[in-house]
Amino acid sequence: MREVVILGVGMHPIGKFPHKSPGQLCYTAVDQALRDAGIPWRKVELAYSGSVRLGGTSGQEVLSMVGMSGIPIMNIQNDCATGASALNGAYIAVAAGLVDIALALGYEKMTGDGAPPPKGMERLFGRNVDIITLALLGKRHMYEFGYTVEQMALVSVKNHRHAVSNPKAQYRREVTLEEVLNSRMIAEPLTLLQCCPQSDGAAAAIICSATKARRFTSQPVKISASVVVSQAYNYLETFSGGIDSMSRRAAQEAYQRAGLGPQDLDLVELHDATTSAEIMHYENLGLCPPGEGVHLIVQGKTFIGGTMPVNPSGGLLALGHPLGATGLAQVYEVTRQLRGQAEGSERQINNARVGLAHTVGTGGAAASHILTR
Amino acid sequence: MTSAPARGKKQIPIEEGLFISLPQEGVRLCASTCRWCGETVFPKRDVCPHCFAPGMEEALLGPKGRIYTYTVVWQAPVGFLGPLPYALAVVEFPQRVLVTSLMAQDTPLDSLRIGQEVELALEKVTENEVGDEIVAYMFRPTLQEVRNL
Ligand SMILES: [Zn+2]
Repeated sequence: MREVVILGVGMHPIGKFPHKSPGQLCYTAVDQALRDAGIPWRKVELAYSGSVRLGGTSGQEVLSMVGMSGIPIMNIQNDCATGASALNGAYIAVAAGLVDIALALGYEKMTGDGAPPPKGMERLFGRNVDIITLALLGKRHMYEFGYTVEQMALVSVKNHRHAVSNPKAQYRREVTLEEVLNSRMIAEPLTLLQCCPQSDGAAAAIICSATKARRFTSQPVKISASVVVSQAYNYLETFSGGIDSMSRRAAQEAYQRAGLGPQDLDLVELHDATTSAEIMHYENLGLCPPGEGVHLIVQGKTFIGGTMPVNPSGGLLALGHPLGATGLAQVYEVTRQLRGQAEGSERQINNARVGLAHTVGTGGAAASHILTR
Repeated sequence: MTSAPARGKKQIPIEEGLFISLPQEGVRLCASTCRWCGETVFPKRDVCPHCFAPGMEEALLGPKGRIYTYTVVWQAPVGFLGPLPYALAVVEFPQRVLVTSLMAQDTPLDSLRIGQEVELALEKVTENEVGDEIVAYMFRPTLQEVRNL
């Protein structure tokens, strides 16, 4: 396997853009990634493209906005791990030596989304119940380790504060703990401000073999590990789609491949679909022992400036969660942080050298990428 | 709210193959037990997801289990038909199987707790065009638990 680096990243801001097409969102992300990489579109030899809602050959459709060059375009659908899975596909192609330069693209249009009528058990449960699943998991986690919703809700305060100066973020406003707790109840114990929003967005990364990258850049960010896993059967997770165990395995395997451990991380972008999810993932990613996740937030360790900054971008809660784009939005943030180019004031993590990006889709897939410089 | 339908109304299962309603014993869930490793799974499967062996035997779950976790939902997910708020529980049956469903509609929402004993019940979810009841399995606190409140 060859060493693979990130040559360029690009991203359309996340938010609600009902009047923009997926192609317009993607054009911004890909064009920015190409400029950042310093290469023209015709140098890109292969693309992995992913969206949860659009599916089909939508990758060909959105990339035709950049140019119809005839390269292989693979469409990925892997729930919330879609963007990260697209990067994994492109990584494998470059690492294996099939191509030198590849594009990974993720995008989503959630506003103006029409849904077909429910059928079967959907009539009982409804659809897109991920937030409810995380409420069920959060309730159990709080019960097992004895903590309160007031403690858990601090995650939302932190991630909103991080997003304030991030020009790519959907919500750039500080929120108080009282606001978070008093916002509308969604599914106990989760209030509205403890749940990620519906978002539109697109993000892209141009990756390249390390050897060839020397022609284009003097400070590449290396992909030290790219891992995707699915659920291994365990009866306690049949209701939750393996969110916890998949995340644990994806992280462990990534640490192993990179020859690094959680103690080496300078920052983490993780899948905070809810406040409860962030606390569970502190433990799943090995940032603390099992049962001690809540201490990290209560002691302020995961704020920017803390010992283990988590979601400096604002995370899914405040940066936003355009399903298929999220994995690559995280890679955008980590890459810029490692280059010392975090956008917005007071968001740069000093001398960041190692970052982890983690996404997980229930049912499902979990992905971990470790980036280093 | 009970298994006795209103006069002239048929009860139609929300989805085939998930549960049976026995005249004496009440509702049971249709699960499968692996002949090789003994794992029990719901809904039924032909191949064991745990040891990957083919040849699962039919097994029935219920009537009683305990709440593993629960939530009270105040915002309906896309396509949800019932009234708000509603309680949703994950129940562990003795065969080491977790099953998710709504609590029966007359369950007090503030009475739920992890570890609580519940039993299966058949409840109306909606009606079809000709007025037949679409029914599904749900959970209700056992009498034992109600007395303890
Ligand atoms: Zn088996």
